[in-house]
Amino acid sequence: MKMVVRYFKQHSRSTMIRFAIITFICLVAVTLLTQGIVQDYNRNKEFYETYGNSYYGYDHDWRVYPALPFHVFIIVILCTGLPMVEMSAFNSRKYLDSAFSFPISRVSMLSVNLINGYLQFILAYSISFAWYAMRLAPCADKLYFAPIWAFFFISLLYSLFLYCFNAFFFSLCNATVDGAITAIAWQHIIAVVLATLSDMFNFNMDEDHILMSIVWYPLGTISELYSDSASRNPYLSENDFKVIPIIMIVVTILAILFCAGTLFFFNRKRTESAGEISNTPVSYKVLIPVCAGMLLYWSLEGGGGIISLFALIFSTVGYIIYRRGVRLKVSDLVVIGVCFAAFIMGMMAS
Amino acid sequence: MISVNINSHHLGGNLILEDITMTVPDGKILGLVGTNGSGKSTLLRLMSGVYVPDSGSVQYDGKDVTIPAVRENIFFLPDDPFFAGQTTGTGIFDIYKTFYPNLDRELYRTLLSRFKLDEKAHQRNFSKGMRRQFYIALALSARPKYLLLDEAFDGLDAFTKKTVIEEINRSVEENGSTVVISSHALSELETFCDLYALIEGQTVKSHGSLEEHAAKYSRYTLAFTEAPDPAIFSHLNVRDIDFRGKFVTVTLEGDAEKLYESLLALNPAVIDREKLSFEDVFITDVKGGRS
Repeated sequence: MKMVVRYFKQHSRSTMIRFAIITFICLVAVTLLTQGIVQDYNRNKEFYETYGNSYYGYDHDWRVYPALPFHVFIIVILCTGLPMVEMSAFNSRKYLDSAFSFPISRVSMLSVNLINGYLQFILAYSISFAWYAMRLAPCADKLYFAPIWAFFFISLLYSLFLYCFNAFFFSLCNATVDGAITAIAWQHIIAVVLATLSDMFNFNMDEDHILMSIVWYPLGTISELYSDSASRNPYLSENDFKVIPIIMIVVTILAILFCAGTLFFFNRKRTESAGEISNTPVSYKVLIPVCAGMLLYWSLEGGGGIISLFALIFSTVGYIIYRRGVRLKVSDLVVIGVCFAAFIMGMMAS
Repeated sequence: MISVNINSHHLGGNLILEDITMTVPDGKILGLVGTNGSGKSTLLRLMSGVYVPDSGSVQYDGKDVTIPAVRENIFFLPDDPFFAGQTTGTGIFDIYKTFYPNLDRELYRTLLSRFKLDEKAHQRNFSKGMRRQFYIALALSARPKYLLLDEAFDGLDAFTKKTVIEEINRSVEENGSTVVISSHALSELETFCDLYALIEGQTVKSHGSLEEHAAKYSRYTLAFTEAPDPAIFSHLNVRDIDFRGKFVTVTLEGDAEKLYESLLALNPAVIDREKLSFEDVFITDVKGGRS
């Protein structure tokens, strides 16, 4: 335990500059956001104070929109980027040659890195959120701050899930680029597959149901609800809030599962594979055919259009150039073949 | 004591090592030798806990290397250690100090000054050999009970090699360290290793005392009055033989005195016994394995 604490201290010190940069960027982003909100508030206030609330012939209770979804953007970026940088060293064979000979277990080492990354996120996010609240303080007569702080704590819990979700894919992959592609793609892939299948087989799933399966989307929805609530929006029903505790329980359970999965797979990681093409089924060997199939379907159906087709070609070629070729085994070709066959059958059925 | 019992280990689906059984007693220096790609670095990684064997175990004083506390006594210096370009000697020291609290800063500085290296300079400004000197200084400053060095002399000049050997010997004498060192510089290993292990054909082909092993072979140069018939050597345990007209150079395995008597019985005009270097022994071993 003593060694773990020593490593934690050393690792925190060595990543202090990164933390400072992240916090600075968050503060700048929040400053720009709140500047717009406060300017709108001042302009509206001046207008209605000059002309009164009944200027348009009826009482107009003007509001300030606190733009909480902006924080979801920060959370998604940081909770993808931080596990990536924390785990990128473990994709260097040279680094592992030294690191895995140190008198500390792999699980402890990874835990320290992940905890450090998450703590940096919490600190950077909390500081920027506090700055956000301070900047909005002049608008207090038009805002409820209780929902804003409630959103802050809910978003922190949700961010733990997002962080663990992404870390899980980085732990499965041998290279940082593979990990990034996999983690980002899997944030969307379930939703995109559902959308495509719904379209192909007329499942009659509405857009909201599909969007909810993007891993960060529920937080986006919650942020909208709390933004409305903070600005005294009359559309909100109590039912909107009933679903939030359920989402948070599910999210907590998933965070624990993904965290356990991350530690489990990292402990079994083969050192000699670090930096190699990732050989995990959730990586490129599934993503490339799945994304290609769906993009192809959308392009042919007119959904994705020519841009999707170009995006597909660009990303696939770019990935292959980066990896200096993709070594496909027979099992990979089978996966690709099955994926394409499924999409062709789907297209024929639709 | 280090006990290595590895049944098999694969890398990328290829069998790299199998049936490795050897022990290294405390306070001894073992030279790990073998041809390129024979698995020396893999064995050292298995011994340091970087790799976990597919089947088998590596134990230090009866405890498995996979236990983190066991590794507190082990310092592994890989053949190409990781470094960040902006890291200085001081920075590297601080990182390692986290894991090896006994790192001696004074000794580190002394060694760096012997290697004429600036502790505050950035690693990116150094050659491969200079970086290796940094890490060797670090390894020796840790005063570990077990020191594992992969290709320790790679990229070092003759003067530095000599200094490194002196410091390793000092570490063994003062701290009772056990050293396992892999190198292609067999002439250097010969000067300070007590034991050797030859990795060939994915396994430890032979291991033991360097002196005893060298005594297994004898090399003789014989001069005959006329070119001899090769068949006259057939009853001897010949490991290597070279015919040049009336002259024959033969490497034999077995008791040196008896072999000498046997060779005398062949009636050479002149017979001369040569001392085999470790390099000669290594080549003879490897050739024997491949013939």
